Amino acid sequence: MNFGPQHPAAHGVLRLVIELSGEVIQKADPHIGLLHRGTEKLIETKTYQQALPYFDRLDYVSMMAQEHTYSLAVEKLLNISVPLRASVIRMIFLEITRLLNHLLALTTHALDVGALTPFLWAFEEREKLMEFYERVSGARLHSSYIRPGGVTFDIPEGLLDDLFYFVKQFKFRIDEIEELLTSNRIWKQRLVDVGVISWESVINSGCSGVMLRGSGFSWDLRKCLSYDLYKSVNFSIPIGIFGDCYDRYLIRIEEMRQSLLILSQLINSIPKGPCRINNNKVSAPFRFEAKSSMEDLIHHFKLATEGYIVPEGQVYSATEAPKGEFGVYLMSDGSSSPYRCRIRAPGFFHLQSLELMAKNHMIADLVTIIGTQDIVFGEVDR
Amino acid sequence: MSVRVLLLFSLLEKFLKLLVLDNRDVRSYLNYSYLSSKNFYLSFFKILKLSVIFSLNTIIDIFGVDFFFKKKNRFEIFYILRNTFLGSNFIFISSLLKDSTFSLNSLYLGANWAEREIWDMFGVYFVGHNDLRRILSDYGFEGYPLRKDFPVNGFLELLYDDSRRRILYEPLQVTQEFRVFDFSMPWDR
Repeated sequence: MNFGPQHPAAHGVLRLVIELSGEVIQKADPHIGLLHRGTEKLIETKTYQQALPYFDRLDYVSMMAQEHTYSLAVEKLLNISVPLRASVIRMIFLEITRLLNHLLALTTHALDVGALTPFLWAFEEREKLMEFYERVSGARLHSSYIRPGGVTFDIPEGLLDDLFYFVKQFKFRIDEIEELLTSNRIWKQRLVDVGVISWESVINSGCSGVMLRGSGFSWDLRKCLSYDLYKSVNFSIPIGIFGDCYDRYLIRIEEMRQSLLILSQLINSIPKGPCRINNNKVSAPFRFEAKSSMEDLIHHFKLATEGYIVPEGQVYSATEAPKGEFGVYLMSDGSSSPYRCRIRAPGFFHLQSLELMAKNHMIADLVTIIGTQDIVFGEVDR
Repeated sequence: MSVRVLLLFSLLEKFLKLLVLDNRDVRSYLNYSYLSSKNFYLSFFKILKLSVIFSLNTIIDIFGVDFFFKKKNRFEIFYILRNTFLGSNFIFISSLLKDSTFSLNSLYLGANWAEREIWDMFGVYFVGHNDLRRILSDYGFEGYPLRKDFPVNGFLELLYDDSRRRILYEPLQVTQEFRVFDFSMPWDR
């Protein structure tokens, strides 16, 4: 039987060819690539700066997480490190991104299963979070805010105060969502013991993120292969026991709470200083500088046309995006555009294990499993 | 044969030294001359996966790179494997003499789609892969898009024909040639 590609529960353009016996799934073969835009090929023709916005458009619900991974890779190749303040601003926005993603993932999952209300509530919160995006970058979704060398602009005055008020009230919003779902009889009937997967097969199939933690394997790149300043903040990694959809739901809820914890620590400890490195060969001068100084104007022109030269080398940088391990393998041949840019999308590997998880389940459970895997087609198809 | 096994172990020893040096990212070329048989190729990765020293239990990624005229061997396949207990990445690079190599599908479930993608994008054939279909490109697509000799614009364009009420594939027509700007300065070369 054919499922999709235009099916509201397919989270985009997933086409599944399912073999059924009655209502029980025997085989599920995902056909992907309906949203393939050739990002990797396009990046090869662009300079390092021009390649950045493509990363927003991969997983279009966790934008900054991917910009960040790419920026880390370029920074490693250039052998530069960002100022402390930029690092903290990045972490703040990474956690906001995590909230954005988990709110969407959880509540669309709930929507697929039949609970509409959390979806409406979460989208109001998402709206508030996207306002923070808008205030720093001018764009609600595709912000290209985190860049090699730091962040585009410093955060505007009063943003941290508003973020503090948001964090304060958001706990109760999570509680409200939990009140509706966590002990809800229908929700549990649909999620408990559905899509069980052992950690051995999760690891073997290259899944990461919530999928790995849901099966009881404590692995979070923020802790295990720490980047930025995640070593210096306190948070814990929630892990599941049974590896079913309900565990993964609980983990996402708990991760949101941990994100709030990280956010409140960061708001209180943000240092003063520049938000970009001072090296004008890499980071573009601010507009008022380019208008008043000849040298800055030259730098601006060079960066806007040629971009910057990245020394020959190759690097793999991976971060814990909300969906799992997002990795970028950059290969530079010493010119101003990458020779090869491989994007390792977590969703690609998750969707691969769909058949493993959905086998011997009913069709209705397939929807639950797609929801719990948190598939976004921008990154699966690239 | 025993010489080959010895070589394999000496190779592993070399990796071990590297592992001690840097337990984050280890990058190494595979010596293809004695990994050219399927059994050796697979047993090499089996040792890496199952041995206690390496226990590279998870596959992070497999991808290809096209070195068009840049290197003697055109394609290189990169394997990123990880030991999740130590948190160290191993990157193995296998430089292909022909455009085919062996599949790791039987060892790692995660290799399945990654290898299908390489087949789709580069046309590198994986011997032993049981389901090597195209994955990302369109049904009936021809050519290998990530090869360096494939133009960014492609060859075909899709358009909707209003009179016939269906979608047509037609040869690409662009009003402006695709331009590549070379900004590198003559004195930098």
